[in-house]
Amino acid sequence: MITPRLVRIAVSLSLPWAATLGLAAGPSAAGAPAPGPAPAAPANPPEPELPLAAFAAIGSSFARTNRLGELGWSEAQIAAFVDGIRAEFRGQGYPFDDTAQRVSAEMGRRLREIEARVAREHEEAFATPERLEQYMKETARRLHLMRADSGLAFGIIAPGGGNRPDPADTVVVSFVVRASDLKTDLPQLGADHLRIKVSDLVPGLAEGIQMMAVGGQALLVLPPALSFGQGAWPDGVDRAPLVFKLTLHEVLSNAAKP
Amino acid sequence: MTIHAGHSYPGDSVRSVNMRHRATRALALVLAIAAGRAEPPASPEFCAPGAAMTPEQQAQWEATLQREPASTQRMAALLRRIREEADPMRNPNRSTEQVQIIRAVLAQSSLTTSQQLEARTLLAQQLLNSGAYPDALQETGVIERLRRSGGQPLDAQAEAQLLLLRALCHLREGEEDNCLYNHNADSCLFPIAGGGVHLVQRGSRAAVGVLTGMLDKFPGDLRARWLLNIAYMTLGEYPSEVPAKWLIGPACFASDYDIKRFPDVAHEVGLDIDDLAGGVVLEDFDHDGFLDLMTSAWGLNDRMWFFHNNGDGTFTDRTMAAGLVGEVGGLNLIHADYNNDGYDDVLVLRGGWLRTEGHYPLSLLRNNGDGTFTDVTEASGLLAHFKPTQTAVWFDYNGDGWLDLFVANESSGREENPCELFRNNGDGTFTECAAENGVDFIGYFKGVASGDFNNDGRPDLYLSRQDGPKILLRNDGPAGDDHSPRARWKFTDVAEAAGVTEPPWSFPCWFFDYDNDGWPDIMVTGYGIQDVGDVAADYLGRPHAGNRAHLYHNNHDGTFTDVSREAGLDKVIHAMGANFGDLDNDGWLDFYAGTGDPSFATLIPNRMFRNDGHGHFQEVTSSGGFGQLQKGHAIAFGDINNDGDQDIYESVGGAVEADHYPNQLFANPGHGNHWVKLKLEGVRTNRSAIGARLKIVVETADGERAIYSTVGTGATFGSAPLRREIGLGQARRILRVEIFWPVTGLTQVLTGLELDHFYHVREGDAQAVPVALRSFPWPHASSARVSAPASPR
Repeated sequence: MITPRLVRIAVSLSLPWAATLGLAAGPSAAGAPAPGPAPAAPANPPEPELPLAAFAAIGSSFARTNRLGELGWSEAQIAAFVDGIRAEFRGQGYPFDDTAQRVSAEMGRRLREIEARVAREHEEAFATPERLEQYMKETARRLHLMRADSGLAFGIIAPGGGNRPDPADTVVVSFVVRASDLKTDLPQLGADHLRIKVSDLVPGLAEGIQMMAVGGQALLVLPPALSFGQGAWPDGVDRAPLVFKLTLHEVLSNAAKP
Repeated sequence: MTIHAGHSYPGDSVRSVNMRHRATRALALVLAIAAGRAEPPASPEFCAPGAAMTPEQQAQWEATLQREPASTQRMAALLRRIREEADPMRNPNRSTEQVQIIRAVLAQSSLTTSQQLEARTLLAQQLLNSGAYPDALQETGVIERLRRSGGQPLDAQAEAQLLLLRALCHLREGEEDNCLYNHNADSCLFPIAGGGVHLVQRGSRAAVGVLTGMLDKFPGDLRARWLLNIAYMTLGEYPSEVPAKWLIGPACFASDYDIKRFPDVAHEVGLDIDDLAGGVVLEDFDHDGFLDLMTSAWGLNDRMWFFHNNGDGTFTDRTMAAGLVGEVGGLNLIHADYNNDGYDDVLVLRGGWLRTEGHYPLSLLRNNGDGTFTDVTEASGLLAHFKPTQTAVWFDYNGDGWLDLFVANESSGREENPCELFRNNGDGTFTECAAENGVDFIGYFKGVASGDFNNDGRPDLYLSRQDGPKILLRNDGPAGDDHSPRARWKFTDVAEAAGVTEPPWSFPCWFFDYDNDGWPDIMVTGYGIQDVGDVAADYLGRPHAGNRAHLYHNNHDGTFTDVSREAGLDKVIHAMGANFGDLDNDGWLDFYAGTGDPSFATLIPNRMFRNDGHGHFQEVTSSGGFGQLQKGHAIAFGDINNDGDQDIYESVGGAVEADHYPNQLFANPGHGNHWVKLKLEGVRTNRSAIGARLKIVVETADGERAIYSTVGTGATFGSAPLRREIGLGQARRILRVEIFWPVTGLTQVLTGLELDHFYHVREGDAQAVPVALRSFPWPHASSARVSAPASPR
């Protein structure tokens, strides 16, 4: 039918937000490159025509993901680190001796401190309703999403067609999740072809899935109250908004709705 | 620059390539479109076959064109050439040609089964769009057999789509048999009842069968559920025969207020123009005191219409005499007196939704004051346009007393079509100056409205778009020391700070002072749904992903508050056309939304909202008889019969070839309230007085009351009369009229005006001059069902 296709074409106009999440090709709307794949293995050296900037971006992403920039390394230490990578690629890696283990442990301690601090800051960033609302509002605008009365931010990436689920229905869904920085993957929260009753999903997903039709994809930003709320949060997940890319594959049971 | 048949314009080379390689591209394009890899032949709108002419009529038409001014002939030739060179596969209003091309592709024996399936699915859709319903139905059977034999069974989503296509074929057959070929005032008025019940029931009966089977298999399909309820309405069996589990109850559609029925009298007075989506202007073009009508439709085969209001309940088609032959393809029309000669001129907007195919010219039609118009696009400097657009606004941004023009264009993909600001040079020409003034925005813009939101005397702009936050451009005046009209001007986007950026996907917008506090508020309606199921979900109170309307209340400090919920407007209206006026002369502004999209499945009512004067809008769609299910576009409120209350004219008809429908004229039954009409004439301000603000102070039983109005043509899709038609409720008398003239900054105060009278007011004059108006009654609208045969098939 025309309408879904038209909407799909129209939705494609808002590619920047998809890129922001690394869900589509292209630079991040946030100005930061999307997380890239692991560095190429020695057996598969990069072909000369591949843009070197991409490799630089991958390096930057690696450093950012591992917070290397926050460890306060000197230029000489950075050079030694890169030299270690290069040596390993040549099959002549440096031995991980006692000194290396001691320095590594110290770095690990500092990284844990940094992560704890970041987590505190993150929680503080959403500590008040005003700050949370400000984040939700800005993120919705940036990602071209709408807001529901519940506080959920949502947008259809690709419309489906056909069945729409009710809370009592069982659905098959997949989702990938990112943290509120729109960059950090949270694979521990993701699911692939999960068979679940709608009412068993966290509230934001339950609400979002009811907006969709089979075959559709949606982007949802859940404020904490619509995900794990005051309950136990999974390890490594800040008490902060979560970003879901959700696909509705099937509605398995779908009774008539009076 | 000159226009002639061989004139070169931007996009020429692309078109030539298209022509040369059309045949070889056809297969790839058909398959790419079918697979969703290429832009579809339609965009979220439009259509029309154009009224079929007999050979004699065609000859008369051509002969008339030869007598038109050379500039009009050149424009006609240019538009004809664009049509001839356009790629039918990328023009949604050329479904029949698309069918031929797809069939030619299918005749190639080299297609794989998958390619055949893709092409045949597209073929079935285009057969539906072209009105070949039996053929479309047959094609769905071919698709099913092909899938079985090719070992490619339908998945659930594809099966639902195919069933929906079948249901739509039957529904459309029913609509044609009844709403078109047995048309009456009740036809397709939602909730359907009375004369709207189908006399020929084969289409809807078959649709009920398909939709019921579809719901048995896909019980959560809200598209099927919505259409099933409508199908039962057309059979006169709603709600009693609708299975309880599928019923969408009548309470969902109940009006909040009984506004009294506004009968559609378009057929009775000969204004039921049957075409596709297009524009409307209501204006007294010849100063005889009666509002005339001009319409357009968007296909490049679709003519304009110009009807003279004879003042006795009849209207005369003067399209040919007015020199409008050849001015085809207008998606929208806006009017104003751009050359300050006292006669209102018309701008034709084209190319909207067509993306790379939409490089059409604007047309500026100068009103010669003798019943004729001359195309002055080239002479005025507007021919340099050639960008897809459907929205523009006349406003005097630099306060020199000459109306400038802002055209908001549609950029898409990699193609950038910046917005344009045409500064009026005061000599009949314009200079494009968007970039130098920082307003050459890139976006998929669908609406631009002008209003002075901060009451500083400078007109500001609000831009509605499909691809990002809305823009509110505050007019800050000259950017430097040079204060001359040609100086660089400063506009600042304050939308974010003002809080007026939502919704993400939007279409029409407008400024109006809905709460009579003297400060313009902003209304913008959402335009983004997955399918009609979102609209159904909105009525049912279920979660959905449809874009809602937003009403922003002006806080008098440069910011706005979103009051959509309190106002009862946080709904999925899905409007394309819209305009506002005063249904019952109570002094509070109401609005009407023309709804829909290109899909035949988006069979949703046009919707009317009445302002209750307490910050809330009551839905009066059902009680007023405004719920036309067919696609609504340009709308204008105006007192066409001069009886004191505003009637409503609406362009009805959709995007694709078969989606034509007669336009509507809703006759106001009257509500017993008082009114005053004021035709303002600017002297130092532009002669149309666009931007002039009025405050009418009346005495009521409860004391003084102020009612505000600003001169303009209303919302962004539909051009209403510039004369002010102001409802005064139960006023006892008019105490005074204050008019703020933006160029001088002076306020003119008039006293001694009487209730229920029409006055001409010249800027600076001490007195308003009474104008005698003759009125006429509307004929009785027939909702009788005619025993006409079904459509000829």
